[in-house]
Amino acid sequence: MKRLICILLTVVLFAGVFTVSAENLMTSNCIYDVSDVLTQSDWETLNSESIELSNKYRCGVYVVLIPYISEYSTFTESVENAAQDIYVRNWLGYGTGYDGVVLLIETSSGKCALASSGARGRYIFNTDALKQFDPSIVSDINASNYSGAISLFIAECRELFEYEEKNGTAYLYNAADPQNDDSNLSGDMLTDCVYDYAGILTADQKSMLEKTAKDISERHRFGVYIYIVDDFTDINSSYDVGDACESVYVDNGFGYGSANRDGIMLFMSMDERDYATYRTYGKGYYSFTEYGLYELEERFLNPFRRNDWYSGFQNYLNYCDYLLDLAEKGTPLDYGDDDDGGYYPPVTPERESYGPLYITTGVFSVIISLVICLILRARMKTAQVKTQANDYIIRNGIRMHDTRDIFTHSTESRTRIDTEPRSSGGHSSGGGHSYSSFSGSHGGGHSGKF
Amino acid sequence: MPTQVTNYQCPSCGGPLRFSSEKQMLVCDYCGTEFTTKQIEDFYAAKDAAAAQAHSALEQKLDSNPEEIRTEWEYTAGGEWTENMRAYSCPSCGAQIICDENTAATSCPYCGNPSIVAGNFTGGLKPDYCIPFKLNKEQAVQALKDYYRGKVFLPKAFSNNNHIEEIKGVYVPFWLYDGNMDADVSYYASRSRTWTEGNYRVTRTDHYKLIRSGNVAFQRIPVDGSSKMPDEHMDAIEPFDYSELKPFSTAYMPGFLADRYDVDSKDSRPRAVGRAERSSLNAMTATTGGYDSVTVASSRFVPHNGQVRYALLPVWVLNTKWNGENYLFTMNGQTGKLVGNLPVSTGRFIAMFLGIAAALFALGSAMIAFM
Repeated sequence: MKRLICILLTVVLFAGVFTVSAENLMTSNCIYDVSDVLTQSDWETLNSESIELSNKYRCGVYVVLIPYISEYSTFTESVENAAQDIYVRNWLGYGTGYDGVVLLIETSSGKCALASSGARGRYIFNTDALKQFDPSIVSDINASNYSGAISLFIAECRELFEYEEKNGTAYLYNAADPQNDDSNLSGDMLTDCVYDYAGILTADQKSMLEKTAKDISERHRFGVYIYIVDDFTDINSSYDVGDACESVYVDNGFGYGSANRDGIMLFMSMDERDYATYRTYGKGYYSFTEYGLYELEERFLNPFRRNDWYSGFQNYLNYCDYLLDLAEKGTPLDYGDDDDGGYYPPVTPERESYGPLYITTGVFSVIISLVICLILRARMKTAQVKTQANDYIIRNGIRMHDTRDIFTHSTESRTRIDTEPRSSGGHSSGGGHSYSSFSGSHGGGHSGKF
Repeated sequence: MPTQVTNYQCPSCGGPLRFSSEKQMLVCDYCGTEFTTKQIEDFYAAKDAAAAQAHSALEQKLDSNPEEIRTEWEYTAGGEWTENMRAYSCPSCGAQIICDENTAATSCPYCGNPSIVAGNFTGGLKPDYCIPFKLNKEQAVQALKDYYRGKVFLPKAFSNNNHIEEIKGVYVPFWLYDGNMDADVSYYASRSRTWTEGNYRVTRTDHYKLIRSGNVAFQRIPVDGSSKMPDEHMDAIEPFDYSELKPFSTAYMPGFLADRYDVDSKDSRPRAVGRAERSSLNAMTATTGGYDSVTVASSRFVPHNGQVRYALLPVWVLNTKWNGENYLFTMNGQTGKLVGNLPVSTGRFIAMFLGIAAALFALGSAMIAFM
């Protein structure tokens, strides 16, 4: 029996090892020629080239050729959406983060689209980068020169990978062409990074924070904001602090870069001590992973709990700077192979929580026991005066003369719901904090109480 | 003032007759002959008529010469034995029966024959109805034993060692009130609904004023007319099955005790009205469904009197003694419902309390350990 268990454990162990290895190496194909428009030799060449590129840069490069989009996706109205849909449905992508980019070609119509996914995929193949793809790809597709188009696509991908490897940051339109830099940080539209509508900072403190935030934003080409209000519900009648935070960020046109609006914002609502952190997709998600965001919040929440606002904001800005530095070095702060889709902070055993639980159990035991004993005791005394005469009402002896229900008025009350951490978004632990994750159309983040 | 005691004797052998709750007939203790209540009533009516005639002749004679005649059946010389006691002569053995002035049926302590103080059942004191006993003494004793069962706080010595000191079947005088109650009640009511809007829980409450007006008809609300019987006991053994109400006859009395009322219908009325008011309020409140909260704002009740009937209802009274204290139990002689207050063992109470608490805590701890 013992031997059997040992064998089984060994098998499981080996299976685990191989599974881990498989996650880190691209072994499946990268070119899916469903339309069968590529020759065998072309397919083999392009496929091996894509696999090699994907493994080298830890980000999948895929091409999917299908005759009709409608046969493979329900998103027929938009090729871009169909590309995203097919990517997700077919579990494409590198590693557990499913990082990668796909070129979808509908061979019957010549339509094509690019889509990227995963934190690293969206970072490298951001909107700016995808715009820079050679238009010849489309020309070749229209001319049914699919192998030429795919070669060009692979070459473009290689260029973007090398750019990121060389510069430590993904290709960005603004960075590539400073003449076209319409960043709001240097423009007239918005010049501040710190907004204190609750008046919790002195003028000097605000000025110092503003200076630091601007410096970080300019160095990293990534907006770093602080936005403080009295009551977030005043903003677009929001009922959720996360929604209010995103609304402020988007409506004010915050962010660096005309297209991506890269940035991060710490939003605080003082009345109910709510906070939310929000970062944009692309570089924001790449630099501030779920784990990174959690660590960032740890830095500022502790001072905030002591009402030490200035220290909290300083910690926030300094840690943003640190995380952006790490991201630019190509090693964003992350936890293992977390795919940025749901980091769970490590949970320490909650031994100390058993004490109150035992006390509560004891109290409830005593109360329940007392109630049972009192009920049994009441059964010992059955001689009691009757106060009603229900037994003596004649059958059909109740006649109603007047029955009116008159509405007088209405009252309405609103109670704030304490935001509990979502089970899939995170949870509190011994020395950690509680938060909820949220995501919007431009980015996402955490919200909670301080 | 009642002066005469009657006991029903067997027309066949002259032995004492008792009312049998099982047979619902009068049975002779000696020869076993059974008679219906009607037979005995008719027999004694004829006998009373003859006696009345003889008595009338005697009265006339006494009026003409008061010193001449004395009879042993008369109210005993000396009149009242004490202020509230009366002495009667037993028609069977001639011994003196001394009892409460309200006693209407009893038994001779010497010969044991059931005796009826007929004067307490005549004229305005005559009950309208009576429910005959359906359960006998043995059944009452068994009911008391059953009542002890399952009472975890009852001291063991009480159920083991206590002896029934006295058990008696008593026809208790009750007033039965008929009437109507006009009720006008207004209420404050509210209905709420809650939903979530973003991070807020919104509760909207609609407030209403409810008006309910109506009439509730009651029939035969019982209130005992005996000050000797504890009200809580007489209330608790309710209800009686009024379908078995019979026109009153003294023929149901032999073998049981009976009292005439000593709290009249006027003094008993507030208790009946109070109970009717609360039931009327309940009846009105029962029509206010569909709200989350309903509270009475104002109420007004106007009773409309109906008939009041006088009835004797059967009750078994059991007295026990334990640790120098008397414990009274009463049982509905018709339905068998038994009530009474039992002593509580402090030791058992504490032991049970600690036992349950410890068991619950152990269960809770086990669940925590497996969490």
